[in-house]
Amino acid sequence: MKDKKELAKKLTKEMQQADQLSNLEEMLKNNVIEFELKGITYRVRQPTIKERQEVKREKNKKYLELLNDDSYLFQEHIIEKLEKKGKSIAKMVEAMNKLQEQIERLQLKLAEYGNAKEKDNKIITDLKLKIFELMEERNLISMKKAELLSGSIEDTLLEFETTYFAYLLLEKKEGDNWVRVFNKYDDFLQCQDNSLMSKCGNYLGLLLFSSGE
Amino acid sequence: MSNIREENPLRKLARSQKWQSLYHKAKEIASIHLFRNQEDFSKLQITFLSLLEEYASAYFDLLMGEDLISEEVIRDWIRLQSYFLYKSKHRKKLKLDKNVNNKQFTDRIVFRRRSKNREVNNYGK
Repeated sequence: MKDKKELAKKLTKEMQQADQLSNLEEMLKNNVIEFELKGITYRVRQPTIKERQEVKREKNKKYLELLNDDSYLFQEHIIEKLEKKGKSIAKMVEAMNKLQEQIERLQLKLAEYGNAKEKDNKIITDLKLKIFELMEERNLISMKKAELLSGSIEDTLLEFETTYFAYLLLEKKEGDNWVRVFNKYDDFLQCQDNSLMSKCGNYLGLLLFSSGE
Repeated sequence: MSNIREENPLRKLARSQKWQSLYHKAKEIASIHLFRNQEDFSKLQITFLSLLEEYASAYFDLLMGEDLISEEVIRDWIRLQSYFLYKSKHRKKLKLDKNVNNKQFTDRIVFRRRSKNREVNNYGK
């Protein structure tokens, strides 16, 4: 009975993975990603040159707006203020670099085991675990650093750019045509549909910003 | 935070026989394309292309009988990354050694050339 349960669990996991892979293959096929939500077909696509120019123009406007707003600071100034409050970004960077050095040292050791089989060499598993632990530690510091610097002018501009692209590039199918979901950038910001926002953000990220790695 | 201990599905696809053979065919035959779009690639496609190249190079090394690589290493992303890191450091070291050797060789040539010049000058006298 236990075996059957485990088998079912294993099969479900494999099916989910296969599903994930076929979804990914679908996304890879083109530089446009289509998805369905509540019976509506949506897509996000690559921006045209004109759209990129529009984003650049709007970003510049936003930059000037932020420059005139005293409640926004450049990262550099936030770093100085943090130093005074006992939080050192430089030390965080140093810690990340040290961790990276340790990771690479262990990786070089791991590589020397070459074609040895992991099941016969516990040290391979131990080295891998240590590397993963260090990588997680490094990523955690990186996330903390990003959190401390969020709200800076640079960060706000990046967020503006992403959301402006999302407003321009999210389209829905109407008959044979694709039309923009939002008429104005403000309409996009007011949107209450969290699942649409989250899917749009994820897919747009894969098209324009992050690598999926 | 994504789970770094698990292999990214994009890597799984890139090392699959299907995509590796498509990649090789697309390199050889111009009419075979990996994607519907042939320009303006998405970030995801660009990453996938570099992973396809990474795994193609790993399989090539395996075929060439490189010591430190095996199917098991190729299936394990952290071991594969470690293998490439080792290879790049090793190559850098080899390059450095080669540069030192070349420098010694060049020094020797310079020395010999000088002495040759002297000889020429002597003959000139």
